[in-house]
Amino acid sequence: MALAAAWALVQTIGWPIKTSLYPRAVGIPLFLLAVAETLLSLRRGEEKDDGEALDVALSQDVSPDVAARRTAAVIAWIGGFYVAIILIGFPRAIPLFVFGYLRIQGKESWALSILLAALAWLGFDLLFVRLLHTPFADGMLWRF
Amino acid sequence: MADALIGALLEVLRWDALSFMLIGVAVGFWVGLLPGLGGGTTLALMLPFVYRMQPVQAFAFLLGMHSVVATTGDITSILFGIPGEGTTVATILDGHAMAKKGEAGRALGAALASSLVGAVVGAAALALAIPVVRPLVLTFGSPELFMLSILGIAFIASLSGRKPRLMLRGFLAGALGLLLAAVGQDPQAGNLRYAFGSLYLWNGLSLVPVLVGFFAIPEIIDLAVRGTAIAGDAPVGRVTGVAQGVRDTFRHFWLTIRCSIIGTYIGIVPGLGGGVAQWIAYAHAVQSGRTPAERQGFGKGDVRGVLGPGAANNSKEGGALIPTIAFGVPGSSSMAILLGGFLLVGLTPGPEMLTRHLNVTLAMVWTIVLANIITVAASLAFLNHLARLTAIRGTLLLPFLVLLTFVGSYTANNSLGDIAVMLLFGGLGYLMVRFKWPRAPLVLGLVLGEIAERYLWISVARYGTSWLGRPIVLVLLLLTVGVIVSTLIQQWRERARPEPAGATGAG
Repeated sequence: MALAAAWALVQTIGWPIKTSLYPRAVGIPLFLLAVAETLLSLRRGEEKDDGEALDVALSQDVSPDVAARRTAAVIAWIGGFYVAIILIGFPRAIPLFVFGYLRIQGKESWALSILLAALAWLGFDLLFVRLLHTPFADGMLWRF
Repeated sequence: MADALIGALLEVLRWDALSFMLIGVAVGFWVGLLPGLGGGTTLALMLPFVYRMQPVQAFAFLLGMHSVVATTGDITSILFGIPGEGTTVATILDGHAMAKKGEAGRALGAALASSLVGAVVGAAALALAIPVVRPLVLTFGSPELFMLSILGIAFIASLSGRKPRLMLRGFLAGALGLLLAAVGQDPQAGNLRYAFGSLYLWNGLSLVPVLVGFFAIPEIIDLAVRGTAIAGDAPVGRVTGVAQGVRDTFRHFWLTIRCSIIGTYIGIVPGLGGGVAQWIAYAHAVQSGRTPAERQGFGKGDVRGVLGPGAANNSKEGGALIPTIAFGVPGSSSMAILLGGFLLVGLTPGPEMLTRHLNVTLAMVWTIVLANIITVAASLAFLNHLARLTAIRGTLLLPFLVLLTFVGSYTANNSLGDIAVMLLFGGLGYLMVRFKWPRAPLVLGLVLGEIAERYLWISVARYGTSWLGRPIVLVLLLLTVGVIVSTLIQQWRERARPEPAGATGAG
């Protein structure tokens, strides 16, 4: 974060004062705080008694190995869905993703996977395409 | 006034106006439940339908729809950890934590009851403000709005956590949020900042994909990691905690009222909006914790973390209507769209709305109240079915949550850039949760940064440095210092005081 703040500050060089004042006013304390946090991390490491952030906490019930494997899997699915949307567009990527996830990752039955994929596509098509007329671009593969 | 109020109620209860309100409520109910489909967008989509309506019918339809989206948005936030609306993000922190513990019914009961209280307070404020609205709004110029945004930023101190290290991280996250608010064209000269040559970033970061990714992606990953239903192994069955959630609202009634007033006031002030109201109300709820153990329970399922934002995000609608009706100055983007509704039905916002068209104004008050009563009653009727969604096994639910997250983000600007931003902030949100960094300060910084910069420049251009001596500016400055100092004193006392054994949160 200190590096990001430093980069943000360097970017403001050459900007007019009206453009640069706000990012500098925010970037300088951000840089200083980030340096302080870095030094604390190096000096004390991740201390146990830092307490809980005022936020939700991730589950601790699963072993770290399993958690890492499942995290990687779900990130891959999410990333894959994004790539599918870019390549073949929303309307085709949605049933493909829902079916693929349910059948391969969820190990659900063929019938249930197909049924839910069809329902997902139908709900999407009725609400967003036909009712709201949201423009969804065709995928890159369909532009050639 | 009493006669006018009764007359307006009878007008709203006429079959035609009531029918339009019920249609509006039904639309708003589903819009609130679906992430990404915002109340403002739907308001714009529904605007053409009011052409042929009478004013009371038109506002029964439009306001009936708009005033309930935050109520049902809370339901999605609590059950799935995905913000149903941009204004219902803060409800996730404790509401979804309660759902994970099998207390979805209690959280929903609390959210619905506090939403109703908030809506009634906001509507009452609208009715009561009619005679005094003019001096109230005119006291706030750009310097006061700037200081109000600084006061909001000061709440980062209470949203960070109780230990010094967490406080440092909270301020870091807040500063990062403020810096991210600088992305796009600067409000003064129009020069581009941190846009990477991308047209998508010219208007800055869009809040919907940022919030959806920031809060939904970590929950989705966690759901996949656990491999269970949202409620885990906790028995869901028939929802039994609803009455307890409603009772919680009355047990913490003054907190609910205070948060409703916060929401109303932030709604009145043009340019701040519900995104700010919910976080300030949440911070206030955290501050209401009397002991360190109580305050540490926030974020882990303290019902007060549901009541505060639940009340504020509904009361703001009544507040935002005040400047819209009285001056034609919209209190939020949704109100700007609603302003179009005024013109479509042949009304001009301004003094006439408080004299000649007083019946329409008072009909709006009743619409907000009745629409929320109907929505809360309908939600309570379906609560068992809604809460059972948390018992569906994760593998079945997850692709639909991912789908809602993607489509919800995309609909913000109909751009694939929205999804990229959602994924980027989803990753950042996950890392922050993983390494125990508070996310709320970043959101507060991002929401308030742009407002603060805009009003600072207007203040300087209009008043030079003399605005620093304006009385309300000084009062707000003192309040800002008070918020930070009181948090630091609380923290110092907590460190000085030994923790009582076996203390638990009050949730």
